[in-house]
Amino acid sequence: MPVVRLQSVDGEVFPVDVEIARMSFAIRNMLDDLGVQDNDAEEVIPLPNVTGPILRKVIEWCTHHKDDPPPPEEDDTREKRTDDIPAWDQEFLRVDQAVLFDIILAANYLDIKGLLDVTCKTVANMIKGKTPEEIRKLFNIKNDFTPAEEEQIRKENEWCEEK
Amino acid sequence: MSLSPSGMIDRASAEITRCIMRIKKKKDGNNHSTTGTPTASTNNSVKQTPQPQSNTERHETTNNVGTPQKKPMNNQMGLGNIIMMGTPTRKLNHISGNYTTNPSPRSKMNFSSNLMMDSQFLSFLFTKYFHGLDKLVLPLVCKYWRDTTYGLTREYWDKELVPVLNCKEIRHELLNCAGVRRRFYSAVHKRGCGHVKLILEPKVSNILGFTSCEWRGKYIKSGLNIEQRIINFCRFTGLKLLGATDEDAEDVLIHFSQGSSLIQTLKLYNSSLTDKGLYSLLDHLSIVENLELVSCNEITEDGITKALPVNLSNIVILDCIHVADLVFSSVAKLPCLRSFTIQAYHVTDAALSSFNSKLNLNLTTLKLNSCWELTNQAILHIVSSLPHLETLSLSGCSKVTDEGIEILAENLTVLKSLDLSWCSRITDSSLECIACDLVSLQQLILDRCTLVTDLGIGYLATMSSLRLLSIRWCSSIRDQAVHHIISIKKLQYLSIAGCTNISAGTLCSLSSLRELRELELTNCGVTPSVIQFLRNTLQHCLVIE
Repeated sequence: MPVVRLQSVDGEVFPVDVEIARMSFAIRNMLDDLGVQDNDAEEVIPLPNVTGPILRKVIEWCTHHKDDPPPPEEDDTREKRTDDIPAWDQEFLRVDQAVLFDIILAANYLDIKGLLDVTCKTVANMIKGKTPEEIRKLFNIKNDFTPAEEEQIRKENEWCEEK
Repeated sequence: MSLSPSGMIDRASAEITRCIMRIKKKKDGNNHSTTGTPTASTNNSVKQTPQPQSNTERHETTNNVGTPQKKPMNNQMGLGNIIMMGTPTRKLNHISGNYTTNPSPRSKMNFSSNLMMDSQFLSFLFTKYFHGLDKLVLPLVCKYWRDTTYGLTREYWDKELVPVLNCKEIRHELLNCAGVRRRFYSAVHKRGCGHVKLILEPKVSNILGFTSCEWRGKYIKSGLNIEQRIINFCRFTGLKLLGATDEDAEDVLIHFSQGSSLIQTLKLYNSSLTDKGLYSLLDHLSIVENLELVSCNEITEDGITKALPVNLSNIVILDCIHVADLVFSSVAKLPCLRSFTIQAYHVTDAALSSFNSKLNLNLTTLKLNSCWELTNQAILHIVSSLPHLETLSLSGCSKVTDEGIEILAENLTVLKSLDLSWCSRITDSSLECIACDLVSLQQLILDRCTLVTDLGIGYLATMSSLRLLSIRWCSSIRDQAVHHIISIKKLQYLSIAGCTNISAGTLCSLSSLRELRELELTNCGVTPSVIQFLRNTLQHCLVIE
């Protein structure tokens, strides 16, 4: 299996199977644009936005999911489900919030749709069912409403129903 | 595999392009080495900024958290390979967030490192992963989240949510401050809306119209809330009134004059509104296309006939005690009518003769829920006047028999969705007709059809377009039925809730339905291990126990 070498911002180099690296659309495009052939010599791809520990997580995820069928077509009605995170991913994403956010940034930067999807679902699940105060505490967000503003915004949003 | 001649030419031309680019860049006098040249292939449109080779001159850090360090770059043998290929370190730039030739469907986003305060990330998260009422907590967190959610498209709010004005609650609130109410109304009435100053936050208002606005007026203190709520509904195209009276209908006219150009969907629930109130409301909200009347017991058929705006396309009337046959004849006259749903116990077969195959060409959805009096005769009327129906519900029309279904199946050839739940006289022979004739059928609901057996379900096995099948509480169903169901390979939604006579092994075989998105097994006596097995094997499917 041909290998590319991914280099994190802190200089760590990870040899990765080309097929796994190509799960990143950003890397895939680059390899395609450069006309890199499978039998070319080992490549080093510097990734200036990703640190070693995060890159290790990303590669671990991609390795686990390398044989996944392509994700189903975009479908607005179904996309919003967030309760369908596979058990392995749930375990994999049981990490500090900062690490989770770094993985999101890396997944976006490297354009790995599946990983971005599952990490965003995880964040959405952290938010759902919580009160505003709990959400603020969770993400360390300051409540910048005055009591009157807070009351108004609450009123504006409680008078709503699902269609 | 050797290259085809045309492939050779492509590569050669790409190489030439590279050379030309290299020369051009040199001419431009940019400070880079010969190896530091972009190699845009002919078929992409990357916006290339030539990247200076020297790290000290690297300024472009648009999306780079950190710029690469000199040391690792120089030390890597692999880098040498890249440079020798004539494909220099501009790669760093190449896969930065600004990369534009990305063929993935999503155009890439630039997230800042503080995700929870990044409107682009939040918009993405909120739009894609929050649904219905889950959305409502988001604006309450902080101003930034409020502005982000309020700044989202009208669709974000309007598609799934409808603002509800609980008229009873308002009355209750106002009783506590009757004086204020009187002064408030008289002030507004006397001065007219033009005198009440509407102040908008420009940032939000230009996107949404009216999201964050306040009424200013010295009389308006506690009445203000109601005003504001109504005004804040302006981002919506729907309005639901709960427990409304004629007086509340007048209120809408007075305090929500914008409604006449905004509201397309009007829902009146549990309201003691009379014909007069309905008329003036619909007269005011003249662009309403979707009307729902639920449990409005003062409204008469005459009143509905007079009030219906001519451009209505969807009508739902449920549990309004005065409604029966006459409504059908007024509804049938609406030229734009596309969908009609009614639940009325006294509707007779004759009502269905109001429809006309020429006039009601657009009517493709008809739902006759719990119209108990309807018989096979009603089906005869339907097939002759509405042969192009795509969705039909006869749920709870319990006098309908197999003969009626046979006629239906033979004639409604473009039917996509059929609901026969609670049609307790339906037997397997109906299903045979359905399977034979309704080749386009995608959804079939047979809940509580207790005479349906495994044999009947066997007929359905041949229906290749079926996506949804619901056989809740079909108590005659056994293992064999499920074996038939698993040959409907494209099934996406299946409910066998309440079917208690199906073995664990048979339930596990449902895992071969690879397209399943939702599987309902409530009250089937399923063991946790079966549920776990199905959840593990059907990863994209919601398994409801």
